[in-house]
Amino acid sequence: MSEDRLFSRFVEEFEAAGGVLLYPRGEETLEEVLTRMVEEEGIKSYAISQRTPRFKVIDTLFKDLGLEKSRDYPSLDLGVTRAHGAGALTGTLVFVFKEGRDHLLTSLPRIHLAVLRREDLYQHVSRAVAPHVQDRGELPPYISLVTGPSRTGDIELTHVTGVHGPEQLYLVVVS
Amino acid sequence: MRGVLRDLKEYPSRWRKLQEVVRNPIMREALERAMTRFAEGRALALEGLGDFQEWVDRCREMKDRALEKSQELWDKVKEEVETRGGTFYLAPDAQAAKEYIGRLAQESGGNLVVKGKSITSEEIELNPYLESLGLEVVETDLGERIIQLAGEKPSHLIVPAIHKTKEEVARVFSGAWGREVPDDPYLITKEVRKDLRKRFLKADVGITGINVVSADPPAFFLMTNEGNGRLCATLPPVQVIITGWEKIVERMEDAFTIFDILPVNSVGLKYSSYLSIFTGPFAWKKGRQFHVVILDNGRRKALEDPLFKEAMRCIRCGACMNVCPVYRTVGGHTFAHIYMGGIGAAWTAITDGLEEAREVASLCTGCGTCLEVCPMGIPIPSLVERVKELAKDKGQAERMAVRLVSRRKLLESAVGLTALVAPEKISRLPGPAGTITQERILERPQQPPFHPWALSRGLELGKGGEVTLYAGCLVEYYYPQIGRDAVELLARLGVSLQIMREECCGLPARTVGEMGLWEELAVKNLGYMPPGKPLLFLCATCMSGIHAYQENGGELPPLYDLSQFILEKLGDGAFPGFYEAKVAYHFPCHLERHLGIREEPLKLLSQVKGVELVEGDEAHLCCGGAGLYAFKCPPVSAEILKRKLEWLEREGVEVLVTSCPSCIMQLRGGVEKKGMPVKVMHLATFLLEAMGKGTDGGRMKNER
Ligand code: SF4
Ligand code: SF4
Repeated sequence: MSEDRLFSRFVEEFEAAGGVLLYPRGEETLEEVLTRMVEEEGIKSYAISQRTPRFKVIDTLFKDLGLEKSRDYPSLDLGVTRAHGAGALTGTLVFVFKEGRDHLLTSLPRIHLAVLRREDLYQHVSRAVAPHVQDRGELPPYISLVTGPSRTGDIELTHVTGVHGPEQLYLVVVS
Repeated sequence: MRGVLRDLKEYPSRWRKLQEVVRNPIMREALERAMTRFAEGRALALEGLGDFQEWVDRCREMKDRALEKSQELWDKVKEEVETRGGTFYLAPDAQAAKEYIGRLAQESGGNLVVKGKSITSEEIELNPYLESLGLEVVETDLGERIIQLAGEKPSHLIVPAIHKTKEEVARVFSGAWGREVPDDPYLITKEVRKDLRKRFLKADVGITGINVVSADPPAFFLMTNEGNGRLCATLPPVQVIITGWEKIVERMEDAFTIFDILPVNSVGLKYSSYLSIFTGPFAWKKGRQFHVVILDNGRRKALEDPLFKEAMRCIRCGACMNVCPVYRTVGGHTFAHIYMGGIGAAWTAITDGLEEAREVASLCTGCGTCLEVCPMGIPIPSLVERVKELAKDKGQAERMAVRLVSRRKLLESAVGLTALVAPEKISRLPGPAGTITQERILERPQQPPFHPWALSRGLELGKGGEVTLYAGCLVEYYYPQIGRDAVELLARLGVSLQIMREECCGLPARTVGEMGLWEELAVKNLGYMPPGKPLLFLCATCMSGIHAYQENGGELPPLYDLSQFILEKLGDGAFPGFYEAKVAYHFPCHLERHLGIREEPLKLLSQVKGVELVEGDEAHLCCGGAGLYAFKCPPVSAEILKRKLEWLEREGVEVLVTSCPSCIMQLRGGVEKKGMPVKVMHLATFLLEAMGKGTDGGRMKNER
């Protein structure tokens, strides 16, 4: 699969599973799409997992928008984390955790925003997990593969999102 | 004898119970909706995966390889878990597993346990045990939570509370929380989220099941849609995994192969929302514990059995249940002990003993519909037979009936007697037996039997017949006219027939697990069969029964269903007949799913001029007859039949053709009971009528 084909397949599957690709999308800048998301989702509080320059940009923007940064993860509107990889065939994001509280940002807040580097995209999600095998041939204690928002059909098969995990899964892809 | 009487006494109450189930409109409608949705979704999602059979072969091979060396693989997993500071316990049985987990929970110092959906934990009846220790156990999967609060059992493997309407669900939560809850699935879900969120954050112990465990690298894989599993596993300070010995695979890629097929096959979803991989203590907070409990409970012993070993490949996708005509009719409350459906009979036998397993097994019709969707290539109907074989002291009445019908002499006398005393059509049996005739009439056996007639026509063996006909018991004693029609039809097509001495094919014996009798009959029939010459059948069930002799190394001549034989005989030529009508073909389960004959009957029928062929998925549904099943579980059998009849009505079918006398008995019984204007005919009769009585005959509409 060519790289472009891989990417478009990923987006297709990711959105079919209920995720929303925020960026890149048309001509809009990252600031524009994030601002829109904050408005549309009525986001007031957030937390962010990393301090790298790219996350700084997002952090600053949210601060400028007047959002409250909080460590009370269960009651947050938005959690922002890095996705360590993705599989195109199923539109799946890979999150790898060794320690710390970052994993809570993928599971507790109402909305989850993931940031994925384009080079971490593989065809099959298993390929995206493989690079995380460690020295002794072991894996880190917790890897979470996420395909769309949390959902259920347990009551009369009615589709409802946001049962225990996020109601909405947004994605920003950077190169 | 005592067993037979006991069984017979139990039948009426059993029938009443089944009747109640099939008459529960909410349950029926809900099951129907779920299964239709999943089956359709599955078909759609499968398109993206390529050839299903290739997946089956791959999964089967991969899983068998792992099971073969499961001990070695688990040793590796254990070592890694312990190296990382977790604990690993192999529980020999349910009691040991419960006690171990109970101790872990008590040692945690707290008393709130949150749980993800886990059928393994249901197998060991973990919840009541933990509760008896004074612990509070909270199921966190929405469906499981509803069931838990309602104090009920799951009715479906994937959607456990499918039998409850949103109004009932709202009532369950209103009761639990002591305040009014609106009957809106969205609002209910949000309320449950809030309620359970508090509990997740407070919980002392989190218990989940696991779908697959890989040995290289050692890892535990859990798939859910709601995301409750990963919260159970990651939030509480004590994480407990409980899963079965059979869940092991060799490599991580193998685990991923299973997840490629699991959600697709299960509910028609490409991937579930969350696939979580755990490998050891996740120390995001100090002191977090990681405990693994692997349950044996009969599994390692089952691996030594050549047939039960096949059940160990099951990944619990539930596809076999979604397509099962019985499960669709009665659901998981009835067609289950803890494990559901036909595969559930095998699993119950492995983990819970034969008594319960036999109960589950007795509801299976053996139709084989499940075989077509199992990604792991598990021979479910054969497993059901095996359960019945092992549960020797159960189902005595059924066994007795089978022993009777399997002996030609006995059968002949019984049928002869019935033919003497019974009216031509029985539309109502007296007393509790009336259940049998509620939705179908019974016909009187026709006289005289087929063989004496055939011999009088000079068809005995060794008189130069090119083809041997195996008539089968039902043609012999019940519908000899079908045999006579076949003889005439073939004569007119220029085929010279001979008949052979016959015993029952043995299939009825097999289906109740009378394997000794089955072998005895097989040996006799093999001895009677003239070698080399094609063996022709008028009964798909007999053909399937005889085909199975190969399993025991029996050498068979080439076997032919009538449709196959005639098509081959005709070569490029068309069938010389004419029948103007809307015609449908009913595929007998044995023909299609056990013998794999799917195309010939339609091909042949479409060659008959004047035939307007009606096709559809319903043509392939089991009719619910299934030999003695119609007498053993009449309410279920009748419900399965209904679906077929509704189809005939909807499509305006005038003639229903098939190739199995047992199906004819069931279908005609139903059609006539309802007074439907449909003729049910054997293929032989239909073709003969199409050829007409004269040379260029055939049937015009106004002649019938
Ligand atoms: S053989 Fe038929 S009745 Fe038995 S489990 Fe399979 S689908 Fe159900
Ligand atoms: S028997 Fe096959 S189809 Fe049925 S649940 Fe197991 S794996 Fe799935």
